[in-house]
Amino acid sequence: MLDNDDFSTGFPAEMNRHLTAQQIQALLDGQLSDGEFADAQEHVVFCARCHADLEAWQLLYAELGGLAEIGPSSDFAARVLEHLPPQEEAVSWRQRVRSWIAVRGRGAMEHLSPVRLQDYIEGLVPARQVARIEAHLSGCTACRSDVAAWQGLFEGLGTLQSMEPAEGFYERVMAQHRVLQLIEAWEPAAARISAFARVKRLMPRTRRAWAAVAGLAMPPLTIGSVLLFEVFSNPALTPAYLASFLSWKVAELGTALGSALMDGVVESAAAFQVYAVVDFLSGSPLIALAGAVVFAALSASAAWILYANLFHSRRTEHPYAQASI
Amino acid sequence: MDYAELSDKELASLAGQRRQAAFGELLRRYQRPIFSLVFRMVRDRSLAEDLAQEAFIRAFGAIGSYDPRYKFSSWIFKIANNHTIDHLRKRKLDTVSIHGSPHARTAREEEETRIVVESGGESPQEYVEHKELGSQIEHAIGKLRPEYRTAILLRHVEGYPYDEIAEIMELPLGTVKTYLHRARSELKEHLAHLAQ
Repeated sequence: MLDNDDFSTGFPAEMNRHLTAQQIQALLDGQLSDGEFADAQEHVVFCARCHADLEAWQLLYAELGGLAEIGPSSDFAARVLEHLPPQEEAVSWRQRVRSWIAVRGRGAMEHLSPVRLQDYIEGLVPARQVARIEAHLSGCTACRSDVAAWQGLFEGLGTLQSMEPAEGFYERVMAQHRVLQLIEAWEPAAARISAFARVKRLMPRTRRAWAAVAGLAMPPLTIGSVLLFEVFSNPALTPAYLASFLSWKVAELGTALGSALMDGVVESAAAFQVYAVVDFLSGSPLIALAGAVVFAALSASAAWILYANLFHSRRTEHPYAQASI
Repeated sequence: MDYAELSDKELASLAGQRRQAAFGELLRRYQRPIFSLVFRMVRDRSLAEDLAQEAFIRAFGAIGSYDPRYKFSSWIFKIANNHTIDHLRKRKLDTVSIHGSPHARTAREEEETRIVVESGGESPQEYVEHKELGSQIEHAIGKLRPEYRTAILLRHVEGYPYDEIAEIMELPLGTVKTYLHRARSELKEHLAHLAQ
């Protein structure tokens, strides 16, 4: 309780300790217990320092007690009351429930999503939801601004117009269609259809492709035309002369090819060996028969291998391969 | 017989009997929308004419396979769209400037192949704004994926309902809705600078 700073007074140790500021204030405030109060009073009687401290604190207490009360200005209360919120009127329980539902409803529909807004502008939202959306929009600036932006986009898209093809488009399409119809009409058999399809696939499909093909074909056509012109512009050349010349040339070429073939076959070493084998076999019929049997067996084996690979395998094709075709 | 008064299905039926006038009337009715769709898809007038011509020839050649239970417009748009998408996939020609064909080599060619948005009955200022807005939108549409572009053009230029777009694009209805929502969101992003 007492300060540890001892002083020699000849009293017991606890009585030799000075009173702290808190102890003095508690003494003056009457906050000490009876025992503590008696000890403190006894100590102060014999301790000059604590006595002086007590008198100083008593003086301060007296000064504080003598301070005049400072009040606010006369209109202070009126000014404070002006800033108070108006007193709430009595609210019925129905109104409280309605306001609670309204608050819950607003909370559940935070901001409208872009998908919702687009559907709303396009009129794809059910009628019962339109009212909720419009109620939300009436109180939400951000969503109203979004709606305006979306409406701007929709209006912009509405300004896009159809575009006309160039003049002659109709005639080109109809002409191509007529030509194809005529070609199809002339096709008598299914076999020709596939041939026609193959040819059609090779035909250029775009104007650029036609231009490229024309560019490639132009040099040989030009050169060929010039050569033909040069040949037929010669006055010595008549159609009869040309025909006899061509027939003579074709006959000469055929004769040369025939004689070359005969020379190659008759005078070749392979032809001589075949002749020797046949001559030998004609002298021994048993060997010829055995050779014929072996030849037939080998031929049959080869035919079976071909059949198994070319025809039989197609029918047992893997189902996935068939599905992918 | 006045072919102009017949319905698409009646014309298709007559075309199936090889009546040239029926083919002609169908072509007259659909040459503009089909060309318009293909042109906005490939952004090249000459190429668009070739592709549209091939689409019509294919459709006319396969007129016997047309099922009259469905709309003829959906059928022919489906053929044109598939043909164009196939071409774009092969050529990967999906984003091209609207200021002219990428194949143009001279200023004149570029001018000739430039997309022009016509407008009528507007004040000069409105015309300029309209043209500018149209150009920006065309440019933004050119940046979309081909599938998104088809959906947007069919919906906002041709005015088809969602279910017919789904039929033309051979997609589920939900997918078409998703395509349109995403395409519009992308367009909104591309055009955001105009709103500022």
